[in-house]
Amino acid sequence: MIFTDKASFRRVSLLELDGEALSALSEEMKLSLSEQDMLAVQAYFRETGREPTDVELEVIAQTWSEHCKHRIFSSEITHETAQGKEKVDGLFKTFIKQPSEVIFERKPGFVLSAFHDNAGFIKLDEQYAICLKVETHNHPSALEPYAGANTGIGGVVRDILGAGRGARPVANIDVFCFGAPNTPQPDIRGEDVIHPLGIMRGVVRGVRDYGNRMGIPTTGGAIQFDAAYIYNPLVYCGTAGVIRIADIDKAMSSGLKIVALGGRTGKDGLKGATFSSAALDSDSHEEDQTAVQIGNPIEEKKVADCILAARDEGLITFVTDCGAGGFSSAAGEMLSEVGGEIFLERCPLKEPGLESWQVFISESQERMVVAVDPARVERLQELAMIYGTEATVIGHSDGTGILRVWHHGELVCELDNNRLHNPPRQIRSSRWMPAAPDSSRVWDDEDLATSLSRLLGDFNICSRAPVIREYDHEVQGNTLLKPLAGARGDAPQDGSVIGIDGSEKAMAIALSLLPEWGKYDPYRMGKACVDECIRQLVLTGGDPDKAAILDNFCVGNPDDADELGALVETCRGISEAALAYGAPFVSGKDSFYNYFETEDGPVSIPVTCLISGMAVVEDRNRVTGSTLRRADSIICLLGEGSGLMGGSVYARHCGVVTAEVPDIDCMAALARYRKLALARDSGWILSAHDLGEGGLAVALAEMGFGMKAGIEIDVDQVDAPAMATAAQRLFEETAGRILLEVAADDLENLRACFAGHSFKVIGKAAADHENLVVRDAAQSCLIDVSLSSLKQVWKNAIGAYY
Amino acid sequence: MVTKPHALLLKFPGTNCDAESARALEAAGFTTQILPASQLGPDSLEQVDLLMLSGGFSYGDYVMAGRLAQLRVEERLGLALNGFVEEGGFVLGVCNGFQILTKLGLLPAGSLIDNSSGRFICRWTELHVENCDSPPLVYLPGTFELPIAHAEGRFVAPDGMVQEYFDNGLVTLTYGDDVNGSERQIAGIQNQAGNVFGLMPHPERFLYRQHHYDPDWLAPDQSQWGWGYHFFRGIRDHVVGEAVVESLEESAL
Amino acid sequence: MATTTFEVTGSMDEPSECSALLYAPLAEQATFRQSRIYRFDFQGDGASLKEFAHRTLVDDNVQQLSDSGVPALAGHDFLLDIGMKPGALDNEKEAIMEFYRSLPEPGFVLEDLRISRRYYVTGSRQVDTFVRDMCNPAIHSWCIG
Repeated sequence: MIFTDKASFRRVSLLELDGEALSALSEEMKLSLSEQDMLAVQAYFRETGREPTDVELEVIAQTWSEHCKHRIFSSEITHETAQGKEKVDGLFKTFIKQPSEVIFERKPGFVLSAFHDNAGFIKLDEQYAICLKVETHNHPSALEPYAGANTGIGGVVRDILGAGRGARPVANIDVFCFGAPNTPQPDIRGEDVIHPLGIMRGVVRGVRDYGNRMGIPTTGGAIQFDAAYIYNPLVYCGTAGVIRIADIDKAMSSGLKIVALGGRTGKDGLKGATFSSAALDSDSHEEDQTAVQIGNPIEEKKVADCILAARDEGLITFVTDCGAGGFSSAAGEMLSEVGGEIFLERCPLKEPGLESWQVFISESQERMVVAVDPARVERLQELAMIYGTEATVIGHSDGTGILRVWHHGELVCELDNNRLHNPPRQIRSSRWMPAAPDSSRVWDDEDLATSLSRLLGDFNICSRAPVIREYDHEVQGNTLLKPLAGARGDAPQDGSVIGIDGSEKAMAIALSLLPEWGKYDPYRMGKACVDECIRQLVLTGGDPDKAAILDNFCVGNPDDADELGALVETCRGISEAALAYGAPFVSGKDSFYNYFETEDGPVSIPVTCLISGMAVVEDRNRVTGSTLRRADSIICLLGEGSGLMGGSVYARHCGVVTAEVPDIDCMAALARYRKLALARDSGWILSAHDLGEGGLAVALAEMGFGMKAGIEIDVDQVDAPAMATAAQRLFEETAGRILLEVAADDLENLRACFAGHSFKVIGKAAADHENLVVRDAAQSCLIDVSLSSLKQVWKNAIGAYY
Repeated sequence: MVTKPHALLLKFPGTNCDAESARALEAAGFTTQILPASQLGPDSLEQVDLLMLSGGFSYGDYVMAGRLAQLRVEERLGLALNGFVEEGGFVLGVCNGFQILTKLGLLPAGSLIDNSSGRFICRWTELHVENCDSPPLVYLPGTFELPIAHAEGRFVAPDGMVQEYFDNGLVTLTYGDDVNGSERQIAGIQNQAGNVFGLMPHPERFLYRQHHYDPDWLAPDQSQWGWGYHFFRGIRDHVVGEAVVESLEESAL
Repeated sequence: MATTTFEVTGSMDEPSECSALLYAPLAEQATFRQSRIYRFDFQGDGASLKEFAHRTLVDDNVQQLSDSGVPALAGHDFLLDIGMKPGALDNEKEAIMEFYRSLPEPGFVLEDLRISRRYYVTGSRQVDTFVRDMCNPAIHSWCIG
């Protein structure tokens, strides 16, 4: 086995440097620390009375990085809108934490852990809790899509393994934002930028080869296509987990052994955290190649088997993953309060010749750190051997309150952890002053059938089957609602439902992102994202009052007031909606500097907010699909339209960028969803499908893709403003709306159930044909097209590329 | 009280269908033990009625699916595995397990190579029973459904052998359509004695009715079980040597 | 130290469309076939190494092993070998090395192993396009023949 043979570190002279020289030093060492940060570092060491070691500086750079500390989300922001200026005392505190804490109080005992652990837990039943975590891996995926995606999955799976005293990963979700796969090569204005199709193929295969090998079903996801993502693709990786409630609490104490478990440490994983906090340019593709690691899913599978077995034997007192910052952040998390010692010479290595700081901050994959009672270390090592991995004692906790790192007898790092974890607060300003929307356009459409067909073939709407089929979405044998289902097993569903071994209950998982909306109205985008996520959780089988959500942001340049302004507005939107739905945030993450310097200037992504969520499914027999089940049923629409076309795919097809984005009344929507849950639990709902991209017409077609029956509707029965045209009624994307399939016998029950809510019978399933037929009140036929031909368009659009 | 038959499930690094396979076997009346490959030795098969190699990616399936697991099994078990089979012990390989059994030479000569599409494929498929006397299939109707999830499931046999396999009842299951390019759509085979059985589809993933992709839960008269349960029940009754026959009409879809 | 290179080809393999490898269709009709190249640096008995390579790398039903040193397939316009560059993890290599280390008496000492995929391209000579779309300097090293 390979270890270091000597300590290799140096003292860095900075006590006497001025601000400029400190900046230069940060640049030279690639610390990504600002002048203000460096002055704070200098002040600390002046107080301590000595020069720092390079190890200490690297550790500070890691801990203070945007990636680890979320400094932009805690910064003080002066936000300017048409209404004037306001101070935001930290986005996280104001818009995420505060509303969530209000909900925690309103729903005692529901959220069992939030914000402080690797993932937030909610109560499933008396014995079990469930959790969800989503991370982004954007820059690594831009440079090497296959490797970036597979280490992205690996990282978030370890988050779950390190949540509580070890949660079991039960499902993965993966959300991508790419440029269109048919982007002409000359349109790509940057050297060494990988073509969007290459990004897509690589990312999907990366997810496939890691998720499938780990034996975690990939049950949900989304792909958004927009030219703004050509240079800066987004890769969100999420994992859901299950744990016994008794295994959630973990606390460090003095006298425990610190054990490194899993893969060995190498030079391959250096500087990931600081790297992901900086913008990309063509040089990134040259310089940062060492940042690209490739995952080893079998190593991680062995670690997972070992951790879960050790947890079941009660061996684990504390566990966390080795993510950004490697041992330094894992040890920091475990020892920052209780204090302790780490001995770098004990860390097993992949290769010789690592310097001290490299051992301590390398982010080599597939490693976990566990705190274990000394008497149980031997058994942990035995388990590691049984499952084919390694467990090595690298230190201990000692109650001193100080973390000391030794290397071959030399003290290479000694930091006061309370101060180390408090970087100077940033002061920022933001602005949101959009042009007023123009609502003068008349939305007439002579050929609605062709428009519908074009929408179904849009990259943002068409079937993801070629991608979904490459993921094993059924391993573990608990995927109750699959991503593709319906009578033919190939129709899209609104979310997924995972059965939990040992429980009668199940877990619904759903997600939403609407970056197109955010270009025009990020506040309404935020609200609609929360709504869509909650709506999907409820209509797949979840309890509307037992849902929790996650916020994952990707933003361009936060130093640009308008881009930061869009983020502030988004936060305001999701915050209000979360509070209205009583769905607390239990975890979240943010990624900044998602922009790229092209030959024609910088290209930023639109503010992209992924809201993902989980909900308790009380009865696994009430899992509801989104595809027609009968040929003699009634089709109803729950929720009212607005006629507003802003943000819709249809508006984008029409080249309209000035239309108003629809708003949603979240309180009214929640009341509807509660009724819907009641109707479902009474057995009155045959199937239910949310209205999303492409609006009512696309939702109807998708509902028919089980090919059990034709569909006939009267567009004038749709609840929308009287002036709304057929095109508006069919293609607007106003949130809060659901298509329901019900048996004729249950209709009166449903009318009573939804009394006082917008609930309209708009049509029926038809046994005598297999077309989608749309008429108006005058009985003129607006659309009459075979579902199988629409399905062909929908199925084949992406297959030509992927 | 009847003693339950015992199933041993081998777990290689990367095996990932062991837990749900054990769950299915227990539902069908087995006691189970999951044995990590590092603990495998010639005496591991004592007191075992069923040896199951479950799905997953043993040793990552690098080089080719099942190869490294085959080499490790040969190294660790030596002739004990052949002895187990000769004495009538039942061996079941599902998906990666099927790939390993094929490489071990315990099944009629053939290989499971890359799907003709060149892709991993996860979907449900219709299956046809080609040998209704095969123990796992005795309680199943002529046509039923199971999910598949594999990248290397295309069965090819040495020239001209496939017809012989059909003639001799060695082909047990075929796909309803061409899912992966298998010769004559072969999905599962068994050895001449009928006690080594391999298939690409995953019976353990359709243990409960709720596992189906279109569980029409408002339909009347439903059993809680999916076809996978009946598959494992067939093996249970075979190794116990008695048919605890349930009426198929009562319990099937 | 000696070096032996093996090439594994599949007898069931058919030529595939090059569009599966590239980001945009080529003007010409081009196809490719694939093989795997394993280059072993070792000391000791070459016959033992060959026996090891054969039972580890080849499925005799559907594959052939060649150590002739010349490309096993013919009739192509160019060939492109792509492997992981030094320092980038090659999971297949690690799996083979791990198996080798588990052998009590391999009969040879395996110093290193480099694996690459070989693409035989027929119908196109646009080597740069193939390299651009298939090789990433962040993880790959490659050579053209």
